[in-house]
Amino acid sequence: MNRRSTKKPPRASSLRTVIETLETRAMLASVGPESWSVPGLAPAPLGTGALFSSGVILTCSSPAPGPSGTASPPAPAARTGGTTSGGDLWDSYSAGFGAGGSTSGSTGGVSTNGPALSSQYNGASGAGGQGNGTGGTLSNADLWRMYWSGAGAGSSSSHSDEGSLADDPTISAQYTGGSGVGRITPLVYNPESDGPPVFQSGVWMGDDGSVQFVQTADTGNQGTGEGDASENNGEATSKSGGGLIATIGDVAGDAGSYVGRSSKSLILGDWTDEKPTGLSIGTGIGLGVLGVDLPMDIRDLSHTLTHREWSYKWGETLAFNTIGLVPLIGVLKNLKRLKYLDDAGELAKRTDDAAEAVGDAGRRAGGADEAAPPVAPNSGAGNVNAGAALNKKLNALEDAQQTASRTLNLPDGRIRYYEAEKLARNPGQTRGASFVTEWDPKTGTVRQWMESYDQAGNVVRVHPKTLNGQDMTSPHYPPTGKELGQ
Amino acid sequence: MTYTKREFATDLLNEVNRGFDVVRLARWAMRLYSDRIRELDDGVKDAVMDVVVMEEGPEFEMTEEQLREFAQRLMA
Repeated sequence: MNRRSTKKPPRASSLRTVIETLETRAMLASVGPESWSVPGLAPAPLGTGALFSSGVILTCSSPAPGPSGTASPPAPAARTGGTTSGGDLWDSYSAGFGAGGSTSGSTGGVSTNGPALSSQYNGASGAGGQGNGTGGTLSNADLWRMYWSGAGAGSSSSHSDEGSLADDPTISAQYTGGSGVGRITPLVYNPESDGPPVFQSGVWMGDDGSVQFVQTADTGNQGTGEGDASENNGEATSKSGGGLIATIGDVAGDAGSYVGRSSKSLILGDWTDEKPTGLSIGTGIGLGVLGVDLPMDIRDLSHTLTHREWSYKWGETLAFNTIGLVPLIGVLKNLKRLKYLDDAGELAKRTDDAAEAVGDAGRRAGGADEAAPPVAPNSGAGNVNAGAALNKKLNALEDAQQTASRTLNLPDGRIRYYEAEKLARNPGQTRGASFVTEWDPKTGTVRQWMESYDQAGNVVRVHPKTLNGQDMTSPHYPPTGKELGQ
Repeated sequence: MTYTKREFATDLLNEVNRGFDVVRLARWAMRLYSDRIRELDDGVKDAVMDVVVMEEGPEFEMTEEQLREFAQRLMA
């Protein structure tokens, strides 16, 4: 499927009929949508579409029924889209040939033979409106600058089924799914955005009222078992222990390295670039006193003779290594290596640090109670009901993860699980409501609330329900008329 | 042990018989949902949520008659 991000001019076929177009525009402007007509076709009454094979329709305004739909019974009965063949539709704001309107059980129509649809804001051949929609089929179509689904089920629908696109239609700059989108709630078009196509299928209303596009993630099995009751103590212990283990580990690593370096220096002598350590120097002196260091003296002297530099440093090394051949007195050759004892001193310093770290950890562990903020009795983990609340909290989270119809990963790591939207029973400003469970993996907090949507899908009210497994008796935000005593 | 639709319908009717108050019934359903979430049989959660959501506004409310019919349908 080709996608273009730049705006495309109208098709030549549209320009070909520009005169008819202008006439049509003037006619539409003068008589209104009730009398829509297309040159060459008899006027079609409202609610009943017509099959047409050519013609251009400009600037059809929503929410009129699809201009080519057929057999659209009155709501709320199921509607089925009509069929369009070869029409050029652009700048229409409502469905091209799908079932439109707010209805349940809509099924999209079928479009064939390359209608050009541009700048449509609603489904091309998808079922629109609320309820359970099924997308239609679109083939050989040229769609661009569409902000709604291509051939998919329409907006604001629960459990919508995907439509289909056939014969490689060209779709560019779509902001939602290409061949059908299930349940977009709500969809917001940002007219300022002219960037690359965005295919995310969800919009999150932020806590501050901002609207952000977010990517709908798969509902995975998130790990549970976050214990909130003893988080603070656990964290403090972890920090102390972690710090201590890290310090001791460093020292142990240094110590192992020190022995290795000492052995290497003792065995290879001047034939290694490894600096002598206190251990290797002391061992060398001990072997010299015992008179068993002759092989090492020969080793070092051979290195000196084979690495001639004719420098003062080389002469000094030659002198020391030659003296080393003399029994007992040869111990003096180790004087040349005493300058390297700084490393041994450094190790001792690190050991002191380790001891200090151990002592500090002990002090921190011993004084943890004093350092922690005062905790009220029978609260947190000490609460007699903590176990029950924890159980309910984990049950709620597990259930939400298994049954969510939509999952949202927030930038700060929180995860929201949305239950399927409950549609309103009675007409009003509120379209529906979803039960939301939010889990913060960083803190283990699980919150649940009910959020209500207006007809455009915006969150208009939230109602906290539980916090970490404990039921909340909270007013709505903003309060309902009943809560305000109206 | 699962909590069936029939049990929920029976409990709902009992609650309605104690007095029809949309907010009270919605909160009762929420507590039930929260307490027994892992025991709910297939479809019960959806039915419970139908009652829970009544508190969210007049658009979601059921009359007493509608609620009794709702319970009767669950028992059928």
